[in-house]
Amino acid sequence: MASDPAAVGTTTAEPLTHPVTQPVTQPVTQPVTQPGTESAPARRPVVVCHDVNVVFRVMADRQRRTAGSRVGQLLGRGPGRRPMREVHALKGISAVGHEGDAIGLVGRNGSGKSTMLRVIAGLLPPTSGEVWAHGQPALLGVNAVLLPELSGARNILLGGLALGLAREEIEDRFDDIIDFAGVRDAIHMPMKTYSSGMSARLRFAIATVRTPPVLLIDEALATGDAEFRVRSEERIKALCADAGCVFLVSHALGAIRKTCNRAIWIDRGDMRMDGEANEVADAYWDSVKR
Amino acid sequence: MTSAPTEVPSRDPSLLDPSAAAELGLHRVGARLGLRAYLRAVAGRRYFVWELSKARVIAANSANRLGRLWELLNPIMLVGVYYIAFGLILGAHRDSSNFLLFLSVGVFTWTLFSGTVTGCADSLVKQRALMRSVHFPRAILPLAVLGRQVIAFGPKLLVLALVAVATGEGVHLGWATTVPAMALAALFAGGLGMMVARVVHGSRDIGSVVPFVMRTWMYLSGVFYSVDKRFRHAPEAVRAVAEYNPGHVYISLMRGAFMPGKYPIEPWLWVAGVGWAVGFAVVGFVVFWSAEETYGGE
Repeated sequence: MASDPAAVGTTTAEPLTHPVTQPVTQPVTQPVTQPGTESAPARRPVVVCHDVNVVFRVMADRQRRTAGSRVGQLLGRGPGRRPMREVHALKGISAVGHEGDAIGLVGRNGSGKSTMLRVIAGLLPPTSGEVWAHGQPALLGVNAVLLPELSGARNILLGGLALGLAREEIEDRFDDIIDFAGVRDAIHMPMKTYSSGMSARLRFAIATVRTPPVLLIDEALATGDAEFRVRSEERIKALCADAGCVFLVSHALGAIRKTCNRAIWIDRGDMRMDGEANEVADAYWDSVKR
Repeated sequence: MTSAPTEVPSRDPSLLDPSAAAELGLHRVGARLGLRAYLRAVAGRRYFVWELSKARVIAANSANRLGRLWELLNPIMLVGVYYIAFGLILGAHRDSSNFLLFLSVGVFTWTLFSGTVTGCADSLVKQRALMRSVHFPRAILPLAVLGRQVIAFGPKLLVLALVAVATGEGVHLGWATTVPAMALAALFAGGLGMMVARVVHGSRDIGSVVPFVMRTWMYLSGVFYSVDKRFRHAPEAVRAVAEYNPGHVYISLMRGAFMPGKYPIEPWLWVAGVGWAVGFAVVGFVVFWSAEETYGGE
């Protein structure tokens, strides 16, 4: 659905009032210093993204012109150097996340959703702009830490330490993790000998061992068989309830509608819309269908 | 197309001002910690450094049947090759009355430097995926490379002791000085590694030059010849540079520990050893820390 060229045409042809530049006439939240006296109590902002820009500089292949010169290029004899291409992945995103918010990020492939999560987590330094947060936001996932050559037990320790847990905390939760993942029999075997389902379950169990104040979730959560899917969804729900604020990237609009109260639609690095989850999901869906 | 939700707070312009965010008690994500706080953060994650070091040793050797034995077999085979090429063919065996031990100490000590520096050069570039998924002080990555080399050095010391005994040097108290000598060498290597890690992260092209620089430095550090003897007739300044080059300093301190009668150590060598270690550790850490915010970016 993401590659529908018609959708691109319609969305870009439309004169787009940039949501960010348009001031909201009635700020719904009161400043925290003076607690709201109206029906909706003021909620504390826990994430503030201020004009975030990310520009990737990549080495592109030379543009091909004719078939003949292409051969020359492959042989490295073409004229000129490989040009540096700039990819503007995020174009001035500003948003505020409040305590208790679950914010869905929607948009087509390559629109910058995952980049946004990495910037919020402080894992990718933005080219310009700033992100402020309460506590250390954390991306859900430890895949990159774990080493397939090591046993499950060692990977639990390694993953836990990478997430910032103390050794004792990991030992306390060790049994919970292996029971949740259901890998007790294989816990001293190298992880590369696990079935893909087993290792996915263990990775999930390690990643969800701790609740950060701001939780960032990137897609593809429910892995494994149906039974584990139910359990993992429950666990995510519990994590979201504990976390101060959740950002969820997903292509499954159903998941966004179900879990999120708010959604942000990012299109080619631009913020198209920020609002109530169902409204944003509807608008996004309309643009995709068209 | 634009949204004006009423029930969901989306954009309060006042909150988009960073100074307002600071007043709310938020902190800037990805902001570099102060030097002392950073040092504390790294120290607080020392178990992580240790486990990551151990994990790397295990993972690196899990594929071959002899496993961790290769950490020893590699330098032993290198000693064999150098013994033939430099000792016998080029005649360097005359530089020491116990050339086998002389050479073994040189090669084994050098593996600490070469392993640490080449490992650190890649440490940030290769761990990009890791840096993009979990937050931690990035100094942990080069430190884990150093930790891995230090762990691997324990068995190497044992082999050196065996070679010493087998070549008739005997057991003596001087062996105890291998510990401070190794500690200083590790400090130096770690500091240098952190500098290299930062430089290579900034410019990948430099990473390709690192092995050649290391090789050149090794040839100048007296791994398989005696600097004292070969530089005897060199000008004073050249001799001093060769003598106090950190590579040669730490190799000499190790040789002094294993062959005290045959390889006497001047006290100045210890002073140089402490100086290089402290200097490089401090400068390397600061150099690494000052670019902390950029690691993981393009």
